[in-house]
Amino acid sequence: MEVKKRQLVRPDIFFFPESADSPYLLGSSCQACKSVHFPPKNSCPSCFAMETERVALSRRGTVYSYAIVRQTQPGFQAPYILAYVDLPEGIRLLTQLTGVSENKLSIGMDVELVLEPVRHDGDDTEIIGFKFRPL
Amino acid sequence: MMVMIPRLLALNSALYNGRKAMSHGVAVLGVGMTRFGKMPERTPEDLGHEAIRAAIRDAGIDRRKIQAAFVGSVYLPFGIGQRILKDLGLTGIPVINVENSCASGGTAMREAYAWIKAELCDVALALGVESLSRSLSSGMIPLDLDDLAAAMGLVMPAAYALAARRHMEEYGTTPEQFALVTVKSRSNACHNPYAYFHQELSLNEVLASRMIADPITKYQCTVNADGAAAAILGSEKAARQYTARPVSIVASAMGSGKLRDRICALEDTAARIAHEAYEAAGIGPEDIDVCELHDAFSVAQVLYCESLGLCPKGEGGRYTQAGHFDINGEKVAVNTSGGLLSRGHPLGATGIAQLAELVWQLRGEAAGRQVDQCKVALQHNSGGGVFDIQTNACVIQILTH
Repeated sequence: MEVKKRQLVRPDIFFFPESADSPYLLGSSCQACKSVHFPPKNSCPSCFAMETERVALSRRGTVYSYAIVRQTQPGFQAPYILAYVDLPEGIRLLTQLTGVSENKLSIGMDVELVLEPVRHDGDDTEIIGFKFRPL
Repeated sequence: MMVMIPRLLALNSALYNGRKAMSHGVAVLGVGMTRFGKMPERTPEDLGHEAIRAAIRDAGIDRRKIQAAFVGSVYLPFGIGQRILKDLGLTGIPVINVENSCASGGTAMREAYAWIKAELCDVALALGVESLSRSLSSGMIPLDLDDLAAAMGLVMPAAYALAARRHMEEYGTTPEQFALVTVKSRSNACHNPYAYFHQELSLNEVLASRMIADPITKYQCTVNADGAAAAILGSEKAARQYTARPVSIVASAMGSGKLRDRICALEDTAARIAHEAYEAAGIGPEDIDVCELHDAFSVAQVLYCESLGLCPKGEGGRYTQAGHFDINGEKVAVNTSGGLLSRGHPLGATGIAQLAELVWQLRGEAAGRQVDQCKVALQHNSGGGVFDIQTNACVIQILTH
């Protein structure tokens, strides 16, 4: 399949700093109660305040749990590894693991963020999502 | 055995609730359902009619006594309730269509309960109906890719596989213990004429079936089905008037999951709602004789047995292996009907099929799978799909005879 277009899974959750080649995930931080959420919110679900700011989240986390998906929705290519990854900000996010073989998977392993394709949309568009790979 | 409420307190509370129930109690007057299975040739109207007629016959009432109807489904078109009811002469009354994911049936039933409790009506119909053969083209429930988790590759079995892996790590639960849930489920379903599957499966067959999301194999997933289930609910006054064998709904609790991106805010939604139900009923988990819970996957049965307090946290796998959740096992008979795994899962119909099974158990009519001395029953119906919260809807009800 020839890929003609690349699209981010969601445009508002990534931060690409000019000074570095590593992207970050963006969360929201409430101006009032300081609670951090991901994906980022325009108002605070914790305290109902209207003002939030975007914050770059840690690029490193630990695996809380993982699952090897062998049957999936159209557009995705099984098998792949889903995981919950815990970030130091107290955020647990659902992501995929990459760069690790099935027999090397373990709960508690340290991982870092990478951007990679997660699925195809139609014949020519690749959807880029966030994954984590072992440190 | 974990006890959420001290027994003495539970008994006092039961007496108190018993008095309270004299004025606004709600009872199940009758239940009925179709067999669940693949029936693409049957329309939702046809399925609904069979279930409603069976429930009305079971209740022994005139259909004109029904003052309101609540109809749960997920994929059927708008107005499905009115469409089904019109040819049964059940017209002119309030008809409320309910979508609440896989808990649509449980929600419809709880709405009927709430109307009676609030004295808006005396007798109400709750119907759950679905035809997945007609509504879906493939086997897996399609998820909305605007949901970030789904866009990242989450599918329903994987959500439970993630929970299973963590359970294995924390409590030493084994893939065999999860698979034994299906073995028990198929064995129970053999005695349920309404179940999709009537064939036993061995542990090896379950483990050797195709891997879907490790450790969940094909036979540890529920199966899409078509079918309908109906219940006639009534006030205590109506119950005295129309039936000699009412089943009382002594608690009906419901809630939705909370946002779960922050680790500090995580909770077990089913445990929270179960606690509310036990408190309201003045009954503890140790009093439950039979339970129908929402086991769309084998793993779910293990997890929910713990959430509902039927065994201590972390012991679900070992209790399953020890046969404690078998019919007339040591503890509580869980999913005597075969549950979602073996009765099949026509999404909107499941919640009311669970109720039907419990009513039959409490009345001693569950031939071949009857639990001895069956007096108190617990129902747990759950529906997900919005992955930022643990569950879209969780309905937990406690019934007594």
